[in-house]
Amino acid sequence: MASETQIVDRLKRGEEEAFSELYEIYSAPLLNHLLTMTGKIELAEELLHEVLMTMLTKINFYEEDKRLKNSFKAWLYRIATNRAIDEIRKTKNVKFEEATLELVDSKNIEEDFELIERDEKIQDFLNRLPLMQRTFMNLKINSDLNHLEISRICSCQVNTVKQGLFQARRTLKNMLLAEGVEL
Amino acid sequence: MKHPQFSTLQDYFENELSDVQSRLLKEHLLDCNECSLILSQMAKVDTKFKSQNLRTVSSFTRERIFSDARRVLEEKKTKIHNAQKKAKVLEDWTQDMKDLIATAINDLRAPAFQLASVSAVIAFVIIANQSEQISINKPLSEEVVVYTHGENVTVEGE
Repeated sequence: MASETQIVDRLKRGEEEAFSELYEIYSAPLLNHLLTMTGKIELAEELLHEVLMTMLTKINFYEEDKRLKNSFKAWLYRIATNRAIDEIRKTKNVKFEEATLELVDSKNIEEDFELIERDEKIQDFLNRLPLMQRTFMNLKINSDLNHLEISRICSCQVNTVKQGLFQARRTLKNMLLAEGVEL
Repeated sequence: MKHPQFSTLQDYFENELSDVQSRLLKEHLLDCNECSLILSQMAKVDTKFKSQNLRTVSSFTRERIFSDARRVLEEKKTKIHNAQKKAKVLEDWTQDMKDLIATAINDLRAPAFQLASVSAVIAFVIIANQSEQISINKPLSEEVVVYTHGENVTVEGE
């Protein structure tokens, strides 16, 4: 299997196949990252489109950072995060998506409903966090990026990331305990 | 028992500690229920908030992305192609210029060599002429013995 560096090199030469491969790897995680930040699926999809087009036009400016384990991923998430922050600044009042979540291949409606309820609750908790803490949590938990990579993506100090994650976890833990969830 | 700082526990939980620090913390955790509980709560909180249902991109957006990507990639390919063509033209031009300069140098080299040779000959003649004059004017201070027909003739200098 080709390494990510090789795929990126091929994309720099304009190969559509390389774009498809990167799309398969990153489209869903990026969409969810943008959704966590903006709270609207339509907006997240629109931003994903813009982010991927920016990736294509700016790919020749990308240089691998050897200090980062996931250099390209961090670069791409940085584009997405900056774009989402710009959009949030523009709209200011962003609420988490109200639409029900699409669940494919679920066994029955009741089960679906429970899942939707639980997921919405969790999303609601997450949405109550400040934007940066929410972003740190999402990048850490769902995108498996380390402190240094998150700090590069969010243009902040590593200690700010650590502090943000600490505060986010503490707040979420308290919310769960308040809901009677046993930890 | 001295507990590690919360940030250290968090670093351990996120695999951000060095091997040595990690080993020390593991040793501490063997005897410390409080720290173990904090770590276990961290894990539970993270599990709760790990996206249960990862949203996938709608087919409409996917199609739009690929359609635009194709256009951008076509433009990119054209740009690359044009840049390569330009580079080739520049390379050919550079080579032509190099050849031209080399030929010019060769053409200049022959007359320059001829000029240098003539100059050298003239210089030699002048120097030779001067040294001849010097030797003619040089007073004969020594006795010169000339052998002619077995007779000894002595010529004395001035």
